[in-house]
Amino acid sequence: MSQTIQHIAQTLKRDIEQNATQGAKTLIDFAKQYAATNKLKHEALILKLSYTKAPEQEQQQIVQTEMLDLVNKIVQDHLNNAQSEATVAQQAAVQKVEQYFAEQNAPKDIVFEANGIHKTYKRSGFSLRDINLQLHLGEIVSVVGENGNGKTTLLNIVAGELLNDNGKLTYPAFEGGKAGNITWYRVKENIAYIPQELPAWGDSLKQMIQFEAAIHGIRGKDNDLEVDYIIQRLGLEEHLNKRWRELSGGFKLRFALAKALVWKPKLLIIDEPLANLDIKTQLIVLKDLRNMASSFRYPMAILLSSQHLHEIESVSDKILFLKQGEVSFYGALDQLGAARQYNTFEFNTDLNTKTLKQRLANLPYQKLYHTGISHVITTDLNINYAQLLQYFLDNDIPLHYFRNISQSVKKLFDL
Amino acid sequence: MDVIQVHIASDEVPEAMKLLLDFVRDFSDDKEDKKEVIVISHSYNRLERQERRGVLNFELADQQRRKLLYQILDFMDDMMDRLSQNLAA
Repeated sequence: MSQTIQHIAQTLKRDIEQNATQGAKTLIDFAKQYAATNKLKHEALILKLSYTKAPEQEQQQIVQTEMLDLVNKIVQDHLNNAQSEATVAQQAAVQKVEQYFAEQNAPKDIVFEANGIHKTYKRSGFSLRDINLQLHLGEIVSVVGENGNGKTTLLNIVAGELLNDNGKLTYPAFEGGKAGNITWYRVKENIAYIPQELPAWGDSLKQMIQFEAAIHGIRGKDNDLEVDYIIQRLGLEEHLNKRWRELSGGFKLRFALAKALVWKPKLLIIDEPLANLDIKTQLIVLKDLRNMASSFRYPMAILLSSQHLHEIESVSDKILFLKQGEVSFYGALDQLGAARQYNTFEFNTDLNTKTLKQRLANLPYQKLYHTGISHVITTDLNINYAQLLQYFLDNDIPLHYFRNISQSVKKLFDL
Repeated sequence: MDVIQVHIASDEVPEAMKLLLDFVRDFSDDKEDKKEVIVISHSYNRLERQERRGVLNFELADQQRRKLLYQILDFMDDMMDRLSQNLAA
């Protein structure tokens, strides 16, 4: 074994000398496998980061030398400690904890249930009809649909901001949430609602969050701790001294989220959270929402509406599609298109329509049309995306963009 | 824990910090743990700002960064030890 590790170490040192970037990655694996003490494993990680960040060759060479020294230290450490009692016990303890976490399941209680909800606006005649919906802790449900189809109406009803005309609402996990006997002030203590148009805040951004925490019972030092926590968690520290009007759309939303999340609601409702955000901020916000919903200790149900179909597909557990006030689809993403009769693909190419059709002549497709933004082609179910892509390659059809939307939310819209 | 380390190694320390904050929120009953992670996060953000503005050169920034990263990794080890002791109890 000692000869083997020394042989591996020599190879690793050569790799580091020839290509330190790749060598650094291998060094981390080497440390993980052979270092008995955590300090050396940590050093491998940190040296990789230092090398990545080093702006000049001279600095990179210094880090490279440190990596080579670390290899020697790990070999020595392994030879001295590998089978020591303390090392074996420590490794067993870590494995035990990791296994324990892998087996734990966060609670998935139902926080909201709607049966046969109706709401009619007499003036316009628009009706939201026959809505059935369940929200569970840890779950993100996204409401999608064309403009004016009832998304905001539904969110307002769930948030208790608008009364339904008919149907049953229950908030089983909340005190005062029984159907037919809802005590709204108790139920709303557990619901955070962020509307699409965010109201402007007063002077101090931090004080607004502190106030929100305080009115939900978080006082004194706990208030300081929870507010500092959420500020760090949502990356808001650098902007605390700004006024509301100086914030970008993205940071206004993040401050609104901080205010909503500081007191750990069980149900978060957000109307069009991605509307004013650049793509990078959209991904950050969605990832944060996913992590927050899935919290082990403070899981939350999230109901949101959005027109950003591709982005919300990556985080949603269920989709509710509203069409003219009625539910056209409600279920898990993998159920979308499960009963479809054909596959649908979206793509963009430089070819004009005539040439494209000529090159597609030998492909048994059903329909080909242009939406104004991209081409859409439908095929029998026996033609999957890999086969279609291969056909495009074999028939010299250059692609800028390709997406299989057979089981995408996009298919629900009649494009 | 592995995921946090992967983020650190991939120069995604802000992501690692978020996961650490989530981990402490979910698995620690000790408020001091939360305070410690908040302080580390605050210190790391300040370091990044100083580096971006050119207030710190690479050597100084790297020195402080390493110190903070060791703090994060040692903190994780400490939490894992305590969690395993709680499980055993």
